[in-house]
Amino acid sequence: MKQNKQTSSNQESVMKKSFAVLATAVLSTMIVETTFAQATATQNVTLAVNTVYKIATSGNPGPLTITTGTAGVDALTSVNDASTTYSITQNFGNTVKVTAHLDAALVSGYILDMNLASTKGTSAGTIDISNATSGSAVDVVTNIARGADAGQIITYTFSANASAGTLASTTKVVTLTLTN
Amino acid sequence: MKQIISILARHTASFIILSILNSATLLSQYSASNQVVTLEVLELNKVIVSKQLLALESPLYYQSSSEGPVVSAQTRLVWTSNGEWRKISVASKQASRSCIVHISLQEMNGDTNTRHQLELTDASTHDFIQGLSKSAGSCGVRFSVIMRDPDGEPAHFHSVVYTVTSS
Repeated sequence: MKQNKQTSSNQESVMKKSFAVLATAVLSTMIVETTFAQATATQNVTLAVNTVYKIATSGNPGPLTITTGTAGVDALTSVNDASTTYSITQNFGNTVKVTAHLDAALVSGYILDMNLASTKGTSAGTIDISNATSGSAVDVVTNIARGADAGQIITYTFSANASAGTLASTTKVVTLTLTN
Repeated sequence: MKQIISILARHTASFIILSILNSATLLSQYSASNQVVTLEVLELNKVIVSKQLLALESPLYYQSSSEGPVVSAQTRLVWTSNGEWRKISVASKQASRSCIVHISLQEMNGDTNTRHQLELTDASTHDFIQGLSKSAGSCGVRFSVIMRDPDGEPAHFHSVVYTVTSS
């Protein structure tokens, strides 16, 4: 009787172990199946960078007013302004340039020069823009490399001859163009 | 075969058109920024003399004569004006009655109407060079002193003032 009880207990223990092993096997199978059941999807992303040209100025220079000169000299004392800057960004190439022109040419005897500093390109130095209009813009910075050039100083110099007479306050629009 | 050729032709045409459009777009790309510049030239009149102190010392033998030119000295007057129809006037402060100061213009350089000689006997203002108009110029100014009264005051100062005014 006692022997029967012990045999039954052993069988129960074996069954329990078997069940545990079976359960583990089923779970492992399920996990593996789940892993293998993961779906993949692909997307095509189209990337493009268009040509970008951007130029901006920091504002307008102060009034350029000639007030003095030297006795016996026709050329009056010139005045200048270096209070404004320009910034550019371009990704086109290394041959980009900045040109400048006025909305209308100055009368003979008055000269407006401008000088644009540059670290990405070659500054043309001080350039006379008195007669540069939209059809005859002049290069002020050339060979600008790709990238950005920020806060570069613009210097205007205004000169006049006594023989040209006085000039009432006049506004001129200077257009800076970033182009290839 | 014809269909293939047709498709190829269509694609080639599209490629050419796209290429042309792309090139045109690249050529026309630019960015611009404007600045407003305010310009002004005020009226400017400047006049200077090359020598500010002229010594006119009379030799002793002239002091004994009743009247005659004693001595002369020369300076150069230089001007710039961007105004129209201006003139340079001259006046002598502290003019002495014991002598007459003559001023004469020499070596005029500039397009003006001039009064070639004048006398400074009192403090009145005289037009000297007229018709200055948007120009720079110069001239020599010769001072001659005629003693009126050899026994008068031995030394005195003339202060000659040049002024640019409107005509």
